[in-house]
Amino acid sequence: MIKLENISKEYGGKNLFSNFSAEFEEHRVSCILGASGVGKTTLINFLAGLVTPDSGRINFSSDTPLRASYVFQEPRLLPWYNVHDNLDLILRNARPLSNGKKVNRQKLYTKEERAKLIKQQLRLVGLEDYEFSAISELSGGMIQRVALCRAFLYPADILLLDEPFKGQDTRLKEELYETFFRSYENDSMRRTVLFVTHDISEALRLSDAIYVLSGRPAGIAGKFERREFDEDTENKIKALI
Amino acid sequence: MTASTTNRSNSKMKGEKANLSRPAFAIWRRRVLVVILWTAVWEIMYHIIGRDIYFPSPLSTVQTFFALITEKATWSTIAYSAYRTLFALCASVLLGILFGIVCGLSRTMYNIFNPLVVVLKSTPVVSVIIIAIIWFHSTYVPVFSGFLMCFPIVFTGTVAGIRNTDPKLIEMCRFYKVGRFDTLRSLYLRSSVPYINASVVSAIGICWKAVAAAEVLSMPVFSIGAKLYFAKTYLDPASLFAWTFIIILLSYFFETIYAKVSGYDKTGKYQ
Repeated sequence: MIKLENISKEYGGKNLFSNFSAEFEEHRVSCILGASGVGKTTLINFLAGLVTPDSGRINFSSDTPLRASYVFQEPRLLPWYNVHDNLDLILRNARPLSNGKKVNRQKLYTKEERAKLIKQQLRLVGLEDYEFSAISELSGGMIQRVALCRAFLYPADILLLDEPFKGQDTRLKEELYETFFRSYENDSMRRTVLFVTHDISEALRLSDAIYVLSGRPAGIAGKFERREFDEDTENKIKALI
Repeated sequence: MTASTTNRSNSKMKGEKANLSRPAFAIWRRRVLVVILWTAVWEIMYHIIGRDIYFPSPLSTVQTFFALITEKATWSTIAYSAYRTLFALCASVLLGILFGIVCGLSRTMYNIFNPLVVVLKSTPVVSVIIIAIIWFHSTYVPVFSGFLMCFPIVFTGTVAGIRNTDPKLIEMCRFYKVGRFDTLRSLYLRSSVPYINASVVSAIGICWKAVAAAEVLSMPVFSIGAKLYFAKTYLDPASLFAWTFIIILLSYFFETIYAKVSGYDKTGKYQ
């Protein structure tokens, strides 16, 4: 279980979170849904360690600190490198997870291991022919798929996604969902996924549980489990946002 | 059918070649017209002034230029001056990039070194040359002067490049715990390349000017600067113009070589 306890955060005099608490179950896809500016990105940035709360605690069920991978709103790939080099860059200093979830502190990936992992991941999502293509030669959808590959390649317990499908047309979104599902189902690390969106249909399509974030300071206005999803769920969520 | 397809593709290729050569021809035609225009202005100026001793004609300058480049001694002079310029440039580029990286990444180091760079930027080249004449042997004066004139340019360009690195990419590298050396090489240096290239190209022109000026005052054996000095002493403006033209050509040659080697184009894009 990932627990956020009594988290408070102020931004520019605005009280974004005040004694905020939430729990996210491990090894499944949880979605944080809410309107723009409510604090969704800040919430996952607490877990990523990119933003520090003013007060409060973040607890994980494991003893060791969790390692996270992240799909940012923008792909954040190095434009002067090709697909392979972009993926290789984050693996060079990464320590593989071994014995279940324990981090092997001694070992780094060898060059051959990195090359094999990259090939496997690209083959999984149908990008193997683009391994040595420059980023500038790829379409917007392909670039975002490479960003998804990078996040799944990085050895981590938790995957954070910050509106990774935003601004894509319906066809490209479908391609990206496909990439996400294939990578998630074949993920040997069985990582916990926490993703942020303001798109209700996307949340219903991808997640096992939806947490609706609203208000100022923000709080969890409602939680919906996949087994409870029905025709009326969308309207219920809309009423809460 | 195959033959006709081949013919068609051949004719298409010829058409593409013709299309490619047309803009290239237009560019060259424009360049030639510009040269003709400025030569005409020069010729008119020459006739208005009417005295060779003040202002040589284009014809006499070209004649002197061709007379010079057929002499063996000219090439030795050019080689020595080019060697000094290259030495000054390499030193300023290497140290400028090194200090630029350190100061771009550390605000404290920038605060320590920047006042020195500001002083260097504002110091008249002649002051640098005179102090160098006091300190060094004549052959090192142009190298020292060229270095001091170019170092601040490369330093400033590198600092700007490092500081303008996309913060989102920096955050990505930090998040994925990319090693320091990899972050420096793959992110900071690569994103600074357009800034460094632009500053090096500026430095090449300035280095030639500084080296020539220092050579005029320090008079090392085999130097273009010494030839410029003799042209002044013997009241030979055609020779002065011809040697100046040689410096311009050498500067252009250095810039072109650098652009080819580094893949730099004037828009600052990667090639």
